Amino acid sequence: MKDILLNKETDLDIAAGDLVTGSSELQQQELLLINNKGTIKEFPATGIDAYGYLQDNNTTELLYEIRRQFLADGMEVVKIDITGNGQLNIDANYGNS
Amino acid sequence: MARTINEIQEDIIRQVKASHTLAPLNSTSKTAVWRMWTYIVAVSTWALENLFDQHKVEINTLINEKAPHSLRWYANKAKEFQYGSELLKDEDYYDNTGLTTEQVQERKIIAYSAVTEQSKGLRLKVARVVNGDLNALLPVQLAAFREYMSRIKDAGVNPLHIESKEPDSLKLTLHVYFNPLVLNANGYRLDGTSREQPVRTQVKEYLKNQPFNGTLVLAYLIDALQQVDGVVIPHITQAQARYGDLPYTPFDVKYNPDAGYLRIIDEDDLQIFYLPQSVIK
Repeated sequence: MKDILLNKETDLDIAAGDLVTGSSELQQQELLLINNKGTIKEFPATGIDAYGYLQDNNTTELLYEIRRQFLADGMEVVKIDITGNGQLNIDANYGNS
Repeated sequence: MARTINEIQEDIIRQVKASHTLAPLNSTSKTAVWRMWTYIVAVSTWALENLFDQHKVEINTLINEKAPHSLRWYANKAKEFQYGSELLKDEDYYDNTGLTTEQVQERKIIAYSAVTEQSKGLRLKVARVVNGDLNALLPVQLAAFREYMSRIKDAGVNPLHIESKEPDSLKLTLHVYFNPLVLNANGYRLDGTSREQPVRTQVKEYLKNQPFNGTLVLAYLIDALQQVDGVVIPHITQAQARYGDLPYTPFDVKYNPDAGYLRIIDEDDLQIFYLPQSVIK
């Protein structure tokens, strides 16, 4: 699965005067996680806004929302959990594409 | 005709897929950057196409209205009349330098105009707006307007009848079968939310909202009365109208007001009989 890639500042990655393209699975996941609902105007219901859950003690809802959104975006979700030291582990992929 | 956002976007995506350099971009995610761009471009194109459509409509009306000396030209020129301004020498428009937009608007006293062609000459009906309702021009205004039209009209349009009359008078007799849970036998609302009789108000509103020089169709009036809360069956038993000092003539389907508009002049001209009726299923 290929897309136009973004750099660490989530700005367009430009190299040698051209846009960089490449495998984009992680980028799609990242964009889903950080974007608010309504940010993507074509699909206003898309976006998890993980930062919005920072104040939450209960992580179940966040995990549920991630799973729901990833499935809706066409991914196969193997496992999503949060480790004891607060790290979010995601094992999901877009299948064969 | 403007295409929809979807049509435009699909077109762009088709082009992307067909392009040798862009085809590798195949991310199906809703967050795919390339896909967002197609959407952005599609929306802007869509906005632009809509603007073009509007522009076309505007230009078409402009062209139609400028068409020299058609009936519509007369109607529009009548609305351009400014009471108290002098026409430019040998021209058919005003020099408004030094006047504010409000002043110009104030001088444009003619709010409605309608032109009909007759076997000889033209007939021009006009009306002004006073306190939110149509009214005839004052004699002094009408005299000025006559002079204006006679200066700008085409040679040979003779006679050019110019009229601005009091509204035609309408007499209606209604039998209203009402829902006794909503209205009382005098036609007032039981919940007291309005001090007027809703049916009476609706008849007057309907006449007010008729287009200038439009035809009053009783069937449409009944449709409007049907919308009133609490009315089960509105039934018009008698409709009469007159213009000038002529006697009232009954009509049963439609009426074309001679003055261009018609009103209930006297409250007694609108007789409503209320009959209770439970809702019919």
